[in-house]
Amino acid sequence: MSASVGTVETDTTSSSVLSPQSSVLLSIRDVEVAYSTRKGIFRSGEVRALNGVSLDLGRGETVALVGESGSGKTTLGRVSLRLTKATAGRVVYDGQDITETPDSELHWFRKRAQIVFQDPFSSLNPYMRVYDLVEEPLVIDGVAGRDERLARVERALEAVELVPVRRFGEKFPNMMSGGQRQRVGIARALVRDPEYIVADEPVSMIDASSRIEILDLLRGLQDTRGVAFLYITHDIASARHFADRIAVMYQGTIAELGPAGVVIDNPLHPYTKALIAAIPEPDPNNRFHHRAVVPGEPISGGPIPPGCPFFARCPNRMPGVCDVQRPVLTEQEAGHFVACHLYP
Amino acid sequence: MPLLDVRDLYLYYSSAGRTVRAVDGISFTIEERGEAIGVVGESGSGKTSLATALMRLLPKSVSRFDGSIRLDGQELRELSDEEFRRQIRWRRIAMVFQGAMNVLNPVLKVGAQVAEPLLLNDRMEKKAARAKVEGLLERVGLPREIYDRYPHELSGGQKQRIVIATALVLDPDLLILDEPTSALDVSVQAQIMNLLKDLKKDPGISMIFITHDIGLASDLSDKIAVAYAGHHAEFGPAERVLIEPRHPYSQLLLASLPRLHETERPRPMPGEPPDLTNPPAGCRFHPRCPYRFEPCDTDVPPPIEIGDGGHARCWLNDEYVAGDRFLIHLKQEAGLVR
Repeated sequence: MSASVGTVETDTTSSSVLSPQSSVLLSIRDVEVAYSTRKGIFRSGEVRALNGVSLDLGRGETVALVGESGSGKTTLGRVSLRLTKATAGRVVYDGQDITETPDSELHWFRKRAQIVFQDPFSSLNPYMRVYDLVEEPLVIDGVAGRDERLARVERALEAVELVPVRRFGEKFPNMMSGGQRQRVGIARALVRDPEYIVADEPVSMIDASSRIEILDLLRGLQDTRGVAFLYITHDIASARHFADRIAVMYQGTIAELGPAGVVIDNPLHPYTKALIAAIPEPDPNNRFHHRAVVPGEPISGGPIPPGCPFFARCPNRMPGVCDVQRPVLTEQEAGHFVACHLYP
Repeated sequence: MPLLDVRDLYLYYSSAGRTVRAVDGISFTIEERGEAIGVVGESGSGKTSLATALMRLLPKSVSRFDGSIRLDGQELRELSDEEFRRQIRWRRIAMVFQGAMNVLNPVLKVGAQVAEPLLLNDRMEKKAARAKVEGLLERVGLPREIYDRYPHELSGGQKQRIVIATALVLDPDLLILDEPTSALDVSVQAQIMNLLKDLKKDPGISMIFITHDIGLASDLSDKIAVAYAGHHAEFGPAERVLIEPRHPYSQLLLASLPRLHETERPRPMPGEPPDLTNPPAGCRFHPRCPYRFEPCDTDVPPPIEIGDGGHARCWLNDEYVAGDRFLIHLKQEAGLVR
């Protein structure tokens, strides 16, 4: 049993099994996020962005949330930052339950947990210089003394390799490339010295040739500063190289979870297998073969099916089992979990 | 005779006294029917402008449009805009635009949208048009009944199939696809790529496939052009470009891709993307190139022929200019030299 999940009670999905090697920083238990949809005056529906997700994140660990649009990966990131409130379940950060804490009492948490947004073109105020953009969080935090703030801004810019700092500090966002802008976004998160960062598709808007630099930079922050990352991406190949563990999400649930290399080289869930088979790697022989595909597309909205969310598309589905009972995450080998009835 | 032969194509835009050389001397050929060419490049490399030039959908800011575009031997540059519109665009060369699935008319049945050119341009009878479209819908993997549906009733993958059917309705020889799967999830992307592979074979449509993803390009392309700052850094058979690239940019691009089943970490590309209004002198890639030598910062490398029908704009491929450095990037990659 994981000792550091704090006030969370043990539940059916077990707690230790989802834990990383290091001590737990963030613990998410059976989280649901439901939105009501009005379909008429009397009828009301419900859409579940998350449907019972449990995950632990260790100090200095990177977990990649991999999945297609609508899988709930961004919602899970937002729930972990308390930007979205869970409608059920618990979120525990460093031993403190923050699920229901009022915003006015979350200042301590807001300083320690940060987010890097997907789009470095729209997430930076175009009328502010880099210095001011990176200083802003410190002003909001009420860090007194301009010298102190400037010193921290310069340290953050150095950490993201926007050097010489004095030259980049004077620039406006439109004077920089996408990769450089994203470094500013990272510096804004870093200037508060956080121990946890949610990086939501941090490189998907950046040219391929600049992506690795940014991911290397994030990886470096993990190594040198011990920052823990939730790396949200649809690019499972990048997750292999920049995350310690991968959680594959499908329609609001975690389908598979394990060490990054293990999940990719030895996928267990039929959805993970399909996801990996669908990715074309540069190979001149690709064009001579059809790619193995699963039929259909993820369904968004609509009622929540009682069984496995992948049932309708699954090539290995077992009617009478998979459409009746929801599979829970079970450990198949050390640290490798799958939610699938094929693996009892 | 090649189906498409593009020679020394130029397309420049000018505004506010600044000129962007989006297509700056590009040559390539599509030899046979059913051949697909992948054009791979980052944003601003000029890959979409190439499509714009081939479709002759030129914005007002165009300040230079030069070169030769031969389709089945016919010089398209000699046609007037009106002749091009009547004879070539959509009939011979069709295009799937990036994001087209999001601009389907929401109040028109999707089948009617596909049938529109048949009714308006070809004056086909309604019944015949419907029959043709229904056949086409099946060809792109949709049920006939989808004819009477509206766009909002369709999934993303189904909408993209409708867009492809729309491009194919006048039986073009050449289909240009600009990032046709960028809005789709990877499992749906694979379904669309399988469809495109089928269409290459039957009815044998040639394709120009524009993408930033060189892996995706390899899923369809017989030949690959690697676009960089308005040039094709390299062009040739997929086997060579993907396995033994002759331009350091292609080589570094491939090395920077995270691979699924390799433990080796991807290597970052050095330097920053070029400023297209003020591209570097000499080779456009020289400021980022680890192999640059004496002529690279002053002399623009021409498309140096490789001997497999392709070319590379890199001095390392010129034995006379490069001397001892001849193909040093390949030898280094193979571990033959340090």
